[in-house]
Parts: sequence; C-alpha cells; structure tokens
Amino acid sequence: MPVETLVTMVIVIGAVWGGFAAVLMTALKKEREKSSKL
Amino acid sequence: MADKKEFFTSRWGMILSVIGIAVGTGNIWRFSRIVAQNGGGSFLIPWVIFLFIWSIPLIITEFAIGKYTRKGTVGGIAKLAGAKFAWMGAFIGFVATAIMFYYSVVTGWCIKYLTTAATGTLVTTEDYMSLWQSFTSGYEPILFHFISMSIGAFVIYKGVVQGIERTNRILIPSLLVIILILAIRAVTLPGAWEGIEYLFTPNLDTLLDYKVWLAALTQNAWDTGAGWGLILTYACYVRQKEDISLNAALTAFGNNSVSLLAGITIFATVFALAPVGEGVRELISGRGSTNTGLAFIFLPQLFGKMPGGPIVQSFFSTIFFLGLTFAAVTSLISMIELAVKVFTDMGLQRNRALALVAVTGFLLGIPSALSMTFFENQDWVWGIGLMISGGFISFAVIKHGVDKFRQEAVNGEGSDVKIGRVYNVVLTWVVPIQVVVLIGWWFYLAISDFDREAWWNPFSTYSVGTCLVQWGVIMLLFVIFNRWMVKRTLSEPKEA
Repeated sequence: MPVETLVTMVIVIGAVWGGFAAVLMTALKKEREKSSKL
Repeated sequence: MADKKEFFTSRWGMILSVIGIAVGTGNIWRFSRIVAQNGGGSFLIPWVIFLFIWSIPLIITEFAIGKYTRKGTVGGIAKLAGAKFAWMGAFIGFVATAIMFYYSVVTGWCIKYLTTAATGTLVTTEDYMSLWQSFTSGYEPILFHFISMSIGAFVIYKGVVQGIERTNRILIPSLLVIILILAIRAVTLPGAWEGIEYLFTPNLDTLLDYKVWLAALTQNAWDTGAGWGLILTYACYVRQKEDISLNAALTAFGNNSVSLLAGITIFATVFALAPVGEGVRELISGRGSTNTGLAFIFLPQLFGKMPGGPIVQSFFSTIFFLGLTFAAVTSLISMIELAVKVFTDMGLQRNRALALVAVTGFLLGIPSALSMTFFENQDWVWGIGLMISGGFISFAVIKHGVDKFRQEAVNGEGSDVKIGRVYNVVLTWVVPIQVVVLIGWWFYLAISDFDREAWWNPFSTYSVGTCLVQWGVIMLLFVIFNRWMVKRTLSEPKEA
C-alpha cells in the first residue's frame, strides 16, 4: 500500500472514528462524575 | 397522546435520537458517490476539515437554541433574533418540511426494495434498471409513500419518549450492527482491498481543486443535519441538566463515522464484485441519474453476484435495504416532529397538528411519488434552501450577540465542557462565508453547466429561477404572516 494512502487512512480514520471515541469517552466520564455527585 | 411537556429520559436516548436525525440515506448512497466523483482520498481531507468548521459549530448552535428557548424553529428564531425575524424561523421550518414531503417518498422506495429483497425476487431479477423504472413510473410509489408517512406519524403520535426515543434506541444500534455486518462481509471479499485503497488514496492535484472542497462542504451541509432546524427541535426536549457541546460533537462524529463505514463497505463491494474493465469509478458515480442509481440499480445487481448462492445474496440485500429503511425512517420522523412542534408552539393541540402535518405531507408528497422530474426539482430547490437555513440560524445568533449566546446558552447550565471564543469567530464569519460561497457555487453551476439555456426559467428543473421563485413566494408569505405567527407562538401557553 502506498505511503500516502496509509497516511490519509490514519488521518481520516483517526480524526473521525478517533474523534468519536474520544468524545464518547469524555461524555461517559462526565456522566459518571455527574451521577457520583448525586 | 395528551399535550404534556416531555423530555428525553437519558443522555444516551437523546444522543441516539439526534444521531437518528443526522444519519440518513445520504450517508449511505450520496457519500460514496461524491467520494468517487471527487478523487477518493483527496475528498476525505476537506470533508474532515468542514466537519469542524460547519457541522460541529452549527449542531452546537441548534442544540443551544432549542434548549435555551424551548421553542421550535419559528419561536426559537423569534426569541433569539427578535419578533420581526420570526419569518426566518418559519422559512427554516418550511425547508425541512418541504424535504419531508419527498423524503417520505424516498423512505417508501427503501421499504419497497426491502420487501422485494426479503422475498428473494430482487437478486433473481434480470434487468435492475427496468425493475426500477417500472416501479417509479407506476402508482406503487404512492402506496409506499403512504406507508412511510403512516409509520412516521405513528412514531410521533406515541410522543417524545415512547415514540421518538424508543424508536431510535432500537433502530440506530440495529443500523450500526447492519452496517458492521455488511462491512465485514464486504472487506473479506476477494479484491475488496483495492476499493479501500482507492477510497483513501489522495491526489495532490485533486486536493488543490476548489471544486473538491466545495463538494466536501456541500456533503457536510446536506449530510450531518446541521442547519436544518431538526436538531433545534429535538433539543427542545433535552433536560435542563444536559450538556450541549459534547453531545453536539458526538452527533457530528457519529454521523461521519457511519458515512465512512458505509463508504468502506460500498467501495469494497464495488471493487470486489463489479465486472472487470467497466471502470469502477464510473460505475459508482455514473450509473443512474442520481444517488438512486447506486442504491436501487447498481448495488442490488452486485448483491446478486455475491458468492454463496441465492440465500446468502438475499440475506445481504435484505439487510442492506433494512439498514437504508432504518436510516430513512429515523430522519423522516424528525422532519414530521419539526412541523408538529411549530404548530403546537402556535397553540394547536398536538394530535391535531400531527394529523394536519401527516395528511398535508402525504398529499404534497404525491407529485414527487409520481414524477422523478418534480422530485429532482424539489430536491434541488430545498437542498440549496438548506444553506439559507444555516445562514438564518447563524444570523439569529449574531443578532442576539454571539458572545452572550455562547456564555448563556452554549456554556450554560449542564455544560460538561466550555466552548471558547473561537466559536464567536466561526459563527460570525466562517459559517456565513461558507453559506454565501456555497449558494454562489451552486447557482454558478446551474448557469454554466446544468441549465445554460434556461437558468432563469422558474419551470426548469435545475435552474436559478426555480429556486428564487419558490423561495421568494414562501418568504413573502411568511413575512406577511410574521406578526400573526409571533402572536400565536410567543404568547404564554395554557397549561395542559
């Protein structure tokens, strides 16, 4: 696989799926914090 | 259902419902076709950039307006920008409702093909083009349009929690499982990797082409649900303690994640199963006149070539159309709810508002069910109209004061993360510039390419004239009735 293809794949998948995973983890953490305060 | 104030019961139920708005048929059929037309990997880079400077800021804004004002598009914009701008909110609502008229027809197509696939007749068809043409040229689309509108109306009749939230809690995870199954099957087909390589291979010349950037911006504008007023409507039912920014980002990333997964699935399938020498790029982008060519003509043909025999072929074509139907239904119900919310804000009882929207939606969808030309005209006019909607939402926030809005509404009660001043710059400058560039670009295409001879003609399908006349008539009506709408919408509601 050409290097530029691999780099694009890493950037795009990293930004989209990685972004989704990062935001989801943050949301889960915040939700846990909220419920522990109750 | 009695009129009562309802709220999504949990953050996750709300997130799934909003993802249900964003994930529609466009994620599955339009994304792959546009990627193919715009050079694969070269398209994906601007597509990711516009996620951050169009989709996420507008989704945050819609969430904040809905939660802050607790009103649909008319009341929300009137409360934010001032009573004399209520007509802008009405226009935003009308654009999404006009799309609902023909989107119900599209949902009906998906249901029809689901039944054809499930009975096993789809994969044994000899001529897929004829199957599609004979279906769309008859009266059957009206029946399926009626079925889809009835399903949508039933969900809305059940209410926010038992209808919208419950449906999305079931359909969205099911849709993800379906796409995952299809993706796993697609990438394990011999030759599939070439498709994935094509999808992610960039070309520097294409990357520097402004048309690719405009296509990427358009895809974000149409595909994420940002600027439609739909997320604003659902946000009216968000609990006060609920966050805005993280939920908005989850929606945008979730939507684009589904698009990417669907793209991988379709490119892998096409490269693995398309006849050698036909030119895969042309097959993805050129078969059929529109997106429908890929979904209803080309892909069913490929499912018929899948190894494993008719049962396996029928299974995969059935779950593909099941996924497409789920994506369509979850978006359709949000369009119906938007219109219902506008009428209930004006004091109409919810059941009466629903009956009015469902019957009108069915009747005004019939021309699109009967004529592809009418359908394409409506898709053109209101598709571009969505960009005006995005502009109006941005205008309302600017009129209210962007920094004030950011501090009071976006970073208000319940916010998990605080959004910085960069939001002010994006909403004040970046979004309006994108709106102007996009509308200008599509009009330029209409004048120079789509309809050179009759670009001014209001009766021509893809003309500038048809957009200006249809938008103009609707805007004029709403300006005339502005005071009446404000009086009905912003007067204190009677407790149910």
